Amino acid sequence: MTQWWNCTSAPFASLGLPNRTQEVSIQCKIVNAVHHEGSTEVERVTYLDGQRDPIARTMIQCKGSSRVDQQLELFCSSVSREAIKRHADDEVDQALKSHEMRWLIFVLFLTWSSAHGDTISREDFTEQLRLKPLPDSKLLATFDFTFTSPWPKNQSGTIIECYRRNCGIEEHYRLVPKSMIRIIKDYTVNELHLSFTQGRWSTSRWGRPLSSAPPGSELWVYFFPSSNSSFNERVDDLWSGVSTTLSGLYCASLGQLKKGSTCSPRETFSPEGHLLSQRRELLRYGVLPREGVCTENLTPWLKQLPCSSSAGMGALLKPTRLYDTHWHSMSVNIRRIYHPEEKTFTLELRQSLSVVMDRKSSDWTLNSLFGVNEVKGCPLARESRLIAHTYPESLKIRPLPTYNISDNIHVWVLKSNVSTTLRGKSSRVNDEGEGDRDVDVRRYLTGHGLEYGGIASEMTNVRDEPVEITYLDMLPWSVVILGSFPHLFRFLRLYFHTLRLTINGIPVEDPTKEVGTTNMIEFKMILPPRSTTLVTVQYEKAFLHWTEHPPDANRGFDLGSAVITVHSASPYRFYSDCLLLSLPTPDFSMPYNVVTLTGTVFALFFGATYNLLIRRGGKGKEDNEYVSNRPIARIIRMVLSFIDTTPQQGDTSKE
Amino acid sequence: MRSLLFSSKKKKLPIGVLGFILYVAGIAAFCSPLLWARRTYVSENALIPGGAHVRFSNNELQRAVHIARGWSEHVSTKRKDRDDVTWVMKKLEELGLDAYRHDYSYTEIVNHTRVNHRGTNVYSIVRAHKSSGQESIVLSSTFNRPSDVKIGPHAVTGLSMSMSILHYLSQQKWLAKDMILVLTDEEKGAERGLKSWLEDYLGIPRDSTIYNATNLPARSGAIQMALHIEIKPSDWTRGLSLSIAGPNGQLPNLDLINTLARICNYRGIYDDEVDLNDIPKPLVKPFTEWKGQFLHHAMELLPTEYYNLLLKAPPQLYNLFAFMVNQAVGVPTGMHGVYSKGRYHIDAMTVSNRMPADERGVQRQSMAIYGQILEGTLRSMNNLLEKLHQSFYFYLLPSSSLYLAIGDYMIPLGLVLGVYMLQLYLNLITMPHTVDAAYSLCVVALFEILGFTVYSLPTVIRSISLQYGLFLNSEEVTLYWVSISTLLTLVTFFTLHIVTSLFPTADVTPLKTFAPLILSTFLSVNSLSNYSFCFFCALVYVPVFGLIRRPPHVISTLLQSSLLLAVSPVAVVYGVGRVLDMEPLEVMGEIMRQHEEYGNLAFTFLTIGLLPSVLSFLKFVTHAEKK
Repeated sequence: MTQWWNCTSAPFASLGLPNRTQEVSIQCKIVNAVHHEGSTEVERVTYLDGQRDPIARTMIQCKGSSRVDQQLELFCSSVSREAIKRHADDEVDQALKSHEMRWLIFVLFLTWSSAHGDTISREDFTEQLRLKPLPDSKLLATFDFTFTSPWPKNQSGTIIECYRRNCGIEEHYRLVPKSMIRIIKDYTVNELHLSFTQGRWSTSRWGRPLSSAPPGSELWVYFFPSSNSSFNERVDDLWSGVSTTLSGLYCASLGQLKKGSTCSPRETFSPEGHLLSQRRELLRYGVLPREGVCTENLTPWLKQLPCSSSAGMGALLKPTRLYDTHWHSMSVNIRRIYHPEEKTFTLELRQSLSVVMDRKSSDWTLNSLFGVNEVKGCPLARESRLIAHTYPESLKIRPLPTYNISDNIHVWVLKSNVSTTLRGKSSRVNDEGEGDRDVDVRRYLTGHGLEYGGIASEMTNVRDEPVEITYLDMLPWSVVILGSFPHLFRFLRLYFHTLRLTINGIPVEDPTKEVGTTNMIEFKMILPPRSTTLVTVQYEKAFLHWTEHPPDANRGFDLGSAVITVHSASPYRFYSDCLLLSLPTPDFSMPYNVVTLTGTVFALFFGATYNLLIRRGGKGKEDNEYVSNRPIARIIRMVLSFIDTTPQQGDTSKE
Repeated sequence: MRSLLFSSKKKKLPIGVLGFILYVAGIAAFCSPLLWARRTYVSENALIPGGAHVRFSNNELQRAVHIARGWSEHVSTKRKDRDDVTWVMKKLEELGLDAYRHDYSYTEIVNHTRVNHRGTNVYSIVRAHKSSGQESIVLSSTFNRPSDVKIGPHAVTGLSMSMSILHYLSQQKWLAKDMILVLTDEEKGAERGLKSWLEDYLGIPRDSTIYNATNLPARSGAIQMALHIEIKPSDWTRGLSLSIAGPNGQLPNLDLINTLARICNYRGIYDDEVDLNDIPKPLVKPFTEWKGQFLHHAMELLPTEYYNLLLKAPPQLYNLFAFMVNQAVGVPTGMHGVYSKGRYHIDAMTVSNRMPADERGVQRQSMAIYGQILEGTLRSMNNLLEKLHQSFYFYLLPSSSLYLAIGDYMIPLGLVLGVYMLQLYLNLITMPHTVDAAYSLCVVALFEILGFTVYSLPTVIRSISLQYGLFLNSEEVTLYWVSISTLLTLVTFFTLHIVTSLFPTADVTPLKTFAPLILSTFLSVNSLSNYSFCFFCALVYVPVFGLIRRPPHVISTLLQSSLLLAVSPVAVVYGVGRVLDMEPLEVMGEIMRQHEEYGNLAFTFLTIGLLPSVLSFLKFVTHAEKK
């Protein structure tokens, strides 16, 4: 079930503008503008859980732009007529004069007070595209957009508190999306990782992933510790706040990441930045395997980039190409970096997008990959880099790279005023290379029927040396064992006593010691060289109440991926496939049939007929014997009069 | 009560006549929907059969022809020198597909020892590149078919067709589910191979309790449906043969057949060219013989115009009959039975093309259409968002686009069996003597206990013999079963004698009511799983038991007893043996094996249903009156 927020066309639809084909994105930053709700019909898109705050970074995509000036004015008038007009007029006039520009993007920065203050000068933005050939004639393209800025100062207090105290006004950001700052501040986020993925990464073919993510969407967050006594509940509240806010921001159904479908793993998600406290209660992890990834998630993601999709690497991100790929993963990562010399903290926001594309022909150009002829750097970026790996192929690219990192890795630094066209010619050297990997994992359901089943995970160490891994299987349904949330995810009953571990077919005694909590299975183990380890656990399928089924109940329930962390020299994480579990499903058309049929029968037929048949008409006596004269009795007599009911031989002999 | 109900003293209709009327009405009610059988409709909106252009073209067909030719060349080398599995894997890899090897083994008891058999399957998985691999569709076919060896230069075999289709699918962008092709070795037992593959895929332990999963090198998601691809040599120039009946007559979702039938129509293959019914192999000979004899007699007896009319009888009638025979026999009509709805919940069917033996052009066209039909069906199934669940699971098919739903065909069975219910009702309101009723119930219960004991005997014999380390052959199990059952029957009669002595004055009249109850309950309950079997049984046994009366004479007693013996389980087994040219013991062994393997109803019916009823009736007929 995908719950999606219509965040695209709503704001301007109410203005009655003609719907034309052109799209205009407007980014406004209004400081201390008063928002009059009553005076305008424009519904502002605010991302912070419906909270209307005086400062927000508002992104509205609208249709129709034959009269851009009027539109902009209308829009601005809905927020702050004078403030915008003063600054907008000149730019808009200029833009309108150039008729060739069919795609118009206005980035309006209204730097009201501390425009050239401390925060802004220390903001930084870089973008990078990395092209890497994969073994079976595929190409991995990874876009990285990295923002850095000083860590927001005010990091405590809830939304309400912040609203009352009017906090956050003292800081202003030129590049970093304000919505992200709000999330960090309001929900005391220390580190945040969000990903949307479609397809599956084949570890056995493509090796270890550069940025791993499970199918669907995944979110894990480290929160700041608090001195509050009801600490756990507070983290739960913060988690639900973060997921709901992100849900609105990226038009995803992250709001479904409730208490029962999240967990706090001990080992798997080690922090990537600096944490104030390592306590694992501060970590929350949730995954939605069913989340479909689409342009509606990409659009808000793209708009957070300073140049959006109009310039720089963002211009390469055309949805038609991005979603026609073998693997597509989009992520937002926030971490806090500590600089020991300066004793300061920096915020690093990295938006990254990876796709695995087909490159059937040996010649490839930017056009054949992304459908765009040339690329320029984003004028707001400190640096725009394009990196191409040429191993295992010999690749010739024009123009010549700016510099080479090694023989196989070439770097082009792109300028914002020079358009670069890339033309690569590769001759295959070694196409059938095995992926660089340590462990293969296969996870599948066992058993048949609708009552019992099992989950099996096979982990094969392909190296000649032992490999240490951490295995995490989050099984949200198991909360029923605790009995705390009987209303949540009751579709499986997991039998933890059936957890079995076999290495190369030899069972390991009592692995249940390794089990962390009932909410998840997480254990650390060393896989022997060239071995296969099998973990199995049995479950019982529950019979759900008919209202607990999702709308497409007959598809089954999706179980999220298992997470395997490999503790090698450079630790990395990868994910198994998702599973689809079918539960006993009632025939949902049946209640309707039954209700309508029985309703009709009772209302029209049965009541009337019953009444008619049972009605008594006067006294009925025959041969001094009472004989009922109800219609029903008469009918039975009539029917039976045709049938020989005299007792047969044996009977008569006795009588 | 009695006075309330029976006041008039008119001449009355005996229950036997009423039973006859109901019986005839039942048959009429069964035949009547045939005249206005409804057309099937696709229930699942996501299927959209024929919604997209099919593009399976001559190039793909040429590829299939090429593979088939390669195979016949490969087979022409000496048996010792060739390695079929490697050849198949190499061919798959040449097509750019993954090829995985699946080695399996299973044990069988031959001559009191466990014999370990080994075999190898080859399978390939085409990953749907945009999906996360949670769902899959299985295609299966066989290699080493005897008919694949001597083929024409332009012929296509099941193996080559399935490979070509998989290659074609791997090129498509619309795949949302993974496609798995399982190729099993016909020489090692195709059914066994496919079964082993499925068992390993679903993680069902075969021999030991510890499941050794590592023999499948690659996996995909949950299997949503399966198609078995087959090409049969035949004289037909066009047309498909569609086998759907699984173990115990279980059927796949009707939407599967609907989709295929619609796509066939779009490709110019109409209902009369889609053959739904392959008569089960052992029955083919008697079936054709009977048909020939029937027509021969009809020609002699009937005037010419009536005979011609008979020949022109709607094919639906024959189709429906053949369909019901298939279902009643309860043995899967093809390899799709392995996926069986009953056990693994996978909707499956076997789609086979008749390979025409004539000139090249027609053959090519027919094969290209076959490929397009498979493509279209797979594409529709690929569209599915949920499992197949919208349409019927209980139906009878007179043709690929007409159906009788459960609501249509249950009424006739109810009418045929209705006479027993009526009899019970009448007997209850006429209030038989309590002692009589108790005695009759005791008799019925005793025979029913015997029935259940006999039913569970084979399992008991096997487990006990295994405890003592004996590996019994199936013939021995049958022999032991027959002898112990006979002994038990004798013991039961002895017990009955004791019971009878407890009721010295008892009369057996109520037995006439209770004895057929066993049969009617059995048939009405089991008609939910295998309608055809129960309907045929009801048609035979209701009139036979209807003829049984309390005999006034010794001759009548003898006649009725012999009639009962003629329909008793022993006689049935003997009769089937005569028809199929088999020894009675062999027949019994086969019935038991099929019950074990497919769970079909014959064994259950003979032991739980028929045996107690016949014995009760025998008691009823031969009961000596004590005065």
